[in-house]
Amino acid sequence: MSNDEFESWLSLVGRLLGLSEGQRKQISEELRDHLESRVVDLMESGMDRQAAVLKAVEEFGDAAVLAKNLQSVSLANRKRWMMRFMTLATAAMFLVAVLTMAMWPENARFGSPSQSVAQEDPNPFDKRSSDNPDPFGKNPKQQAAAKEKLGKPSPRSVSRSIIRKKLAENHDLVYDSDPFGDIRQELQDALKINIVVDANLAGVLDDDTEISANLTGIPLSDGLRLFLRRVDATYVIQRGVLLLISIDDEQEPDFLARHMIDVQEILQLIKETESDRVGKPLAFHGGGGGGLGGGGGGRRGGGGVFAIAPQGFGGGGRGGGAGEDESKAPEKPSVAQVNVPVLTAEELLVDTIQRVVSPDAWHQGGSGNADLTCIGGVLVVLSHESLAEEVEDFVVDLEYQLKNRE
Amino acid sequence: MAGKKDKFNSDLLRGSLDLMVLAVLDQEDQYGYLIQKKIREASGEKISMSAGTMYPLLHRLEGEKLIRCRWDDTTGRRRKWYSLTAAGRKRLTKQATQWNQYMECMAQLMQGYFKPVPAVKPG
Repeated sequence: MSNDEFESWLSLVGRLLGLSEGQRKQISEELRDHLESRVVDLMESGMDRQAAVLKAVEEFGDAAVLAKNLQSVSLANRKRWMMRFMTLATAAMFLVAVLTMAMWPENARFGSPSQSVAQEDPNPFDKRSSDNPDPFGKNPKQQAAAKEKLGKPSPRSVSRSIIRKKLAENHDLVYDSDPFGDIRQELQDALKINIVVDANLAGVLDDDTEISANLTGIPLSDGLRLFLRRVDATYVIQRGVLLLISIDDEQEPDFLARHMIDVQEILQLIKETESDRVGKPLAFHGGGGGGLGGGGGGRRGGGGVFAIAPQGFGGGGRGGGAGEDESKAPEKPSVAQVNVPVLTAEELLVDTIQRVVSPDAWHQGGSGNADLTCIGGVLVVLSHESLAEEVEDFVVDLEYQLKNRE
Repeated sequence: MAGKKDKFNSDLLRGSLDLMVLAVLDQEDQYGYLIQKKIREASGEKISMSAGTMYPLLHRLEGEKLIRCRWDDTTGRRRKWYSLTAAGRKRLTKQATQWNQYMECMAQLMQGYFKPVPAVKPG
């Protein structure tokens, strides 16, 4: 075998490989190096070059088998590379999809961490937020944008709302002269809420106080109040615990808590259904007996309505902030722009609540310590738990009535 | 030179050729012909891995990223050198452990036939 045949053998392997030109060249070079190294070794052992070349090629074996083996390895490697590439590409696509979903403004599930906290339902009173997420008929993008603006409620509000949600669930309270300590432990374990008894209840509600009750099928909040009422006690939610206190202490400022109720929708309904009153100067209906309590006009600068001053103004004894002293008024009627307080839907709602929901409990017009105000479409109630729940029930019922009006 | 009858049975070799190549490359970088030569010499001519078997095996190990290659032409001849990768060394360690356990098992089973392995001379 001559050097020519040596080259022809390599060329044959190259042709049989069926790979790319670059791959063929590299394999040929590697095999040539092997053959030449072997020939050198064989020649050093005494063989002549022709015999050495012949033996070196013979040792390599069948060119076709070698080519086939190299080709299948190359294909397997390519397949492995493709698999690796596909795996990476799939992982990258999945990552992109997840990120896209996370960034997509309409997808509330993948919102920011602060929004996740907000999903804890920071305002358990706002039942409409889950029942009707689109109170103003906004499109999903607007809703998402609105949700983005929710921000993060305070940690105390979150913990309070979690406890309220648990209390809103039905829980049977069936006891037959069971020691209160056991009942408290059972409720703590079931609800994962710390229950603390106020010091003022010592001697009235102790761990060994026997409790009997048969309250089933009602929310725990109601059941708890009913069974605590037997020992003149009730509960408040304070600093993340359920605090059992004396009913006498319920009105104490220390035990009042802030509650917030979204009333945007009901305010809109009030504006629509009370269009003959809302937005109109208070003077026009102030003396009619059904007007608002004092103080409302004094807080505002007035509506800037043209009015005939002073006749017909301030007739209901209302303390209007824009009212002028009648003694200083000109004798002849004249048309002038004066600041006339107008009735707002917020005031109408607050006034109505204070008139019909535990009137004595309110600071405004009553003898209690509870307070009520409306700001930015949110009704802020400073009260004990049961009063806040009454207000919530009233708002829900009123909204239902206004919506279902013929 | 050992005769054909002295060579290892191919069934015995199957499954350990990868380990042999990785072990040779663990000592130092080698090119194909040297790898073949080292294995042949280490086995006292009992193992003669043909080039037709060895090169597909080297290319497969390269595809599995157990070894890597580089081309060098400083000697005047273009030559492909192979070296062990970290993954290859890890595989070698793992397979060597298994191989030791396999030998212990065989020694236990072949009591009376099994001769103790002579200690490997350093270097």
